[in-house]
Amino acid sequence: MSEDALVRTGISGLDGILLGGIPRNNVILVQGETGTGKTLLGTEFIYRGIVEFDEPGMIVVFETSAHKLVRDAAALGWDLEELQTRKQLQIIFTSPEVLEQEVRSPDSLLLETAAEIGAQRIFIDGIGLLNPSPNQAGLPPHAARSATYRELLQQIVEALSREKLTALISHETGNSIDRLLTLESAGFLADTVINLSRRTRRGRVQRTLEVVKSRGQDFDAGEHTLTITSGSGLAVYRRVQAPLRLNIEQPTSTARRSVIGVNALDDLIGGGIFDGSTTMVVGVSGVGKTVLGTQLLREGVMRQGQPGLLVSLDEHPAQILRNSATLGLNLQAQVEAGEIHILFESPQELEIDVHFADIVRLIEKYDIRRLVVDGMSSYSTALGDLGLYRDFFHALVAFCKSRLMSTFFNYENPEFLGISTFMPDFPVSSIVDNIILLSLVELNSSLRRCITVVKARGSAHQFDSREYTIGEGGIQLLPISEAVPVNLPFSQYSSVLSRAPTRFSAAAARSIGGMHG
Amino acid sequence: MVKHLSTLGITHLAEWDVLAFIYRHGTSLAGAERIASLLGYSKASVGSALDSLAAKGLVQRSRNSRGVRLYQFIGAAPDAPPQLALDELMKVAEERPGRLLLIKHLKQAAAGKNQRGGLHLA
Repeated sequence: MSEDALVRTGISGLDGILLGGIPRNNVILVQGETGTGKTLLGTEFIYRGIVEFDEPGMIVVFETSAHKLVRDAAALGWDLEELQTRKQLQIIFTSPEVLEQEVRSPDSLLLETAAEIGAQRIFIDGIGLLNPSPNQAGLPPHAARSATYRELLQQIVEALSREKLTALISHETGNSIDRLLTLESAGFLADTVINLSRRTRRGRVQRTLEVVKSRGQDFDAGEHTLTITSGSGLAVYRRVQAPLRLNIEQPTSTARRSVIGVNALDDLIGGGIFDGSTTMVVGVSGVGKTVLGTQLLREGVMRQGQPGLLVSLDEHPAQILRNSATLGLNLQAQVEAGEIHILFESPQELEIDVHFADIVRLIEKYDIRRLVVDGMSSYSTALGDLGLYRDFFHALVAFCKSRLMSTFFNYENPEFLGISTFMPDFPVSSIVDNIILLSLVELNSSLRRCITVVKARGSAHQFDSREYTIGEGGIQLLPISEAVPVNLPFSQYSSVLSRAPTRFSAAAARSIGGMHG
Repeated sequence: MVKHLSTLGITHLAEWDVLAFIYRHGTSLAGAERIASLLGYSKASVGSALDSLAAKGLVQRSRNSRGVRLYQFIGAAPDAPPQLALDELMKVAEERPGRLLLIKHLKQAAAGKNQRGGLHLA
């Protein structure tokens, strides 16, 4: 559909859900219970129409005073008073009965006023208040009165369409029979129906917006997150489960890149990671997952010119920078240069649609090539919904792959010694391309760090478990036969990843030593 | 307060309430009966108040369209005496004690007029 044929709402995120806007002259119904944001949405529709698209508009109210509407809009940064002064907006207080009469009369005052300001949009707040009286006494004898609400509404819809006004009408939902009947009629007659909901979940208020139908166009179905922010207005965030609408096929790269600039690790993984690959780094707390993530990003920037993004729910950026600095990894410099970005969000009351949108925005804005998500297990706790957690993960992987980004997810496995399952709460081993395990091994009386690549799609990776240290410069792999003083090297043990590594006999150890040269 | 009421030429409570109603609602598309039902006055009182306010140049009203008109408050320049008077009265009337004081003054004014053979409130 061409741009001219669409009316853009101007409301952040909503036109994206509507794939550009609403077909011109569609009658739009916004329905929802008290407090869901119907009046706000309608007001912003008119406001944005004026300030962004130069389309004057009218707001018709039955119960709210214009003064309060102007006051409430001012809190969102909208100066409706100024727009009225400039004759781009007219707010009219009237009654449902007068509206019905006026809209149906081509020479009415209402339509005359609309014509005077060149109105192209109209918002009618509270269409459910229309109520055809069964007793027609006292009504203008020459006026044709509809016997039912549906017929009455149809006449209004007809009139608005005749005047070529793009109308947005709001209707309050509820449990009363009257409300249900009037809503059913309105929903049937309207061309576009938008449903607003407000619910409390785990003590937190969640608002959603759903496009139920829209004649003449496609749209992103489902419940999308809606926020109302003081100083700006409404914002709609596409739900993470909605599939990407991309016109490109899944790109594939054969370019291999160093993980952290350490040859030993690149050899383990089969020569490096492919652009666009997804890697899961699994390990118990304290084994160095964040350190590895930091090195991944620095390697991307310093050696390959690839901007990076670190997303964390666990650590504040200041703490991440401090911890990196103690290891001689000067992340601060890359952050200040705008080469590496850090997105921190508290897991408390995490809005996943908003969070996903923030990640996408940063990736697109800075053309991020390497992404590290530090703390996948925190998402599980924050969301409390395994399905939503999984949907977020799938959506993020799909988006990153479409951009051929290399993505690393750090997952804290609760198993302290030895790992029996990669991700106990959410099996994703089939989704990711590479899996790196960081684990602790108890040898003699000390804990030693162990890195193993258990999966590397498309690569002939090694299955050796290698010891590594964390020190100046971050993670370093020890040579395969190097022994740390006092303790024996890994090569002297079997079942290193299990909870009970077993030392080889002397003969077996000599034989293995011969194999490795 | 008396001075401000005098500046605007308001002598009846109905005139004030109707003026405040139109001011608050910006532009109203209604008939006298509708305004009366919302304000709790008789249709005659509201009709009389509207006529009076229009004559004083405080309210603009459109042609009659099937029993309804567009009523708009005619704002003066921000520093003009009528606007200043209105602003002050609005502030006073925002609080309950102020509202009661306004009622008292206007009732006294109406009573004084009645004694001199003035308008009766319906």
